[in-house]
Amino acid sequence: MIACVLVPHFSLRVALLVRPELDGIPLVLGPPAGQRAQVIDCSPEATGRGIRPGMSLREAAALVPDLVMVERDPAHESDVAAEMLASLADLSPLVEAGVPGRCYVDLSGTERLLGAPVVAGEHLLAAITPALRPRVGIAPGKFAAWAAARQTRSGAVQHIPAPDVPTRLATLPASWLPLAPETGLLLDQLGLRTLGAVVSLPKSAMAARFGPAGERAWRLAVGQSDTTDATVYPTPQTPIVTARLDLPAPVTSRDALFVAVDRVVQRAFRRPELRGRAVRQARLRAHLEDGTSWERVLAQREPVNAKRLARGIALRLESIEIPGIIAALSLELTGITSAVARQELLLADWRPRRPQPLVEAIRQLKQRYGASPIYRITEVEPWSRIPERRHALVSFEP
Amino acid sequence: MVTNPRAPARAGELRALNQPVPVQAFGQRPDGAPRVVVERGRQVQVEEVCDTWLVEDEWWRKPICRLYFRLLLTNGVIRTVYHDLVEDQWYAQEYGT
Repeated sequence: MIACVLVPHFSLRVALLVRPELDGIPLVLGPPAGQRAQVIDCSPEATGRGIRPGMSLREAAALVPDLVMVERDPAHESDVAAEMLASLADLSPLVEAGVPGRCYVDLSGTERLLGAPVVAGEHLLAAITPALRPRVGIAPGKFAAWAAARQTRSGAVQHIPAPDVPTRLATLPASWLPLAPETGLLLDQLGLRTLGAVVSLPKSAMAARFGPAGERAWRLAVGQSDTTDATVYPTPQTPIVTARLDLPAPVTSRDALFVAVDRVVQRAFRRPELRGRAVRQARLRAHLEDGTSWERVLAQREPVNAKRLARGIALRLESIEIPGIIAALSLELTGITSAVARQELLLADWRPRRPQPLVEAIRQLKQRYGASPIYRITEVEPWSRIPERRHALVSFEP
Repeated sequence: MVTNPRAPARAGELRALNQPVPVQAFGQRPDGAPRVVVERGRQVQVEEVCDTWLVEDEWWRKPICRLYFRLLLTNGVIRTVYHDLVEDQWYAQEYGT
């Protein structure tokens, strides 16, 4: 059995952890500073008054004058998601992190420790902060478990035994199937609005119309789990090095931020775990004076040392607007590797350095002479015993 | 059945590479190799015949019959020439592998 621990409106619930007094009123989640002002998510109270994600904040405020906006806090969200995963990992060795606010737990072999599925679900619920309003669904596959969790109310556990899965899923909307948005829209246009309607078609018809994704959707709708659905893939535990720098004076200028970035990178690389090593990914978080945060993830093409990482972050920060007054910086480094050398390209100098002017020159020559006077060598019959048959020149058309 | 349009097949902008170049060669050694080859208007003696091979092909169309020689000339240059046994003409052509 697989349990799905679900926290709907995860980002909004995390924001409410800091301001619990706002719980229960019409709320919208706005973007972090510097991003497009639109509704990222909204509370059920706001949805009831016509607010929808994607709406501009100005439009939402005009619709509901007493609407309250809370700002998204990505750094806090990451911390809460990590805590959630760690708490569940105490109960089962197989915990998979899905999208933020969704975790799958394999309950196989935990009966003696956690009890029957519903009791196990209550253990899982108890491991999560109640203010997040978690809920748990238990079923033989991940899709059915998620559907069960989505159907139930917060703080409750819903268990769907294997024989009941097809009947319990039949009434659910077809839009819940893991399909591309355009495929979901097409299902709706074809009048296939419930999983029961999808299942009423032959599997071959779904496969013929929508390909492998359609066939998988049909299987999930009928309660047949494939390997991906029936397996919980535990999130790998990768070593992480973190460093934090509390700034003596709040930073507002880009130059001061670069100096701070350099110092926090140096501080992280002084840790014994990083001695003589390089990293592939960095997550930089800026903790703002108003209590919110802002973060950027930098994935490097190849492992980098402290100097190159600081330079890479500085280059990235050059093109973005500083989100506000920064009180502290924290850096999280992952992908730690013992890279000692860089692999250079053998034929790097052979690539055309300025292909665009070359293409333009050929275009002009073609206009002048009617045909491109530039040729390239191509193989015709490289196996031929007659030498002039082996290769030929063909007109080069860029 | 598709009728033959009788139009010559077009090879687009294809230009064959390594076309044979007519050369003048005189004398004949017992193995059929020349004794003298004309290089840039000057007669150069053949020092040694490094290799010899025969290419016969396309007997069903326009027969090709070439007797190739890899020659070391007295000026130190290695030259590949062939005797076209159909036309009785000499050509220079790099053969490669």
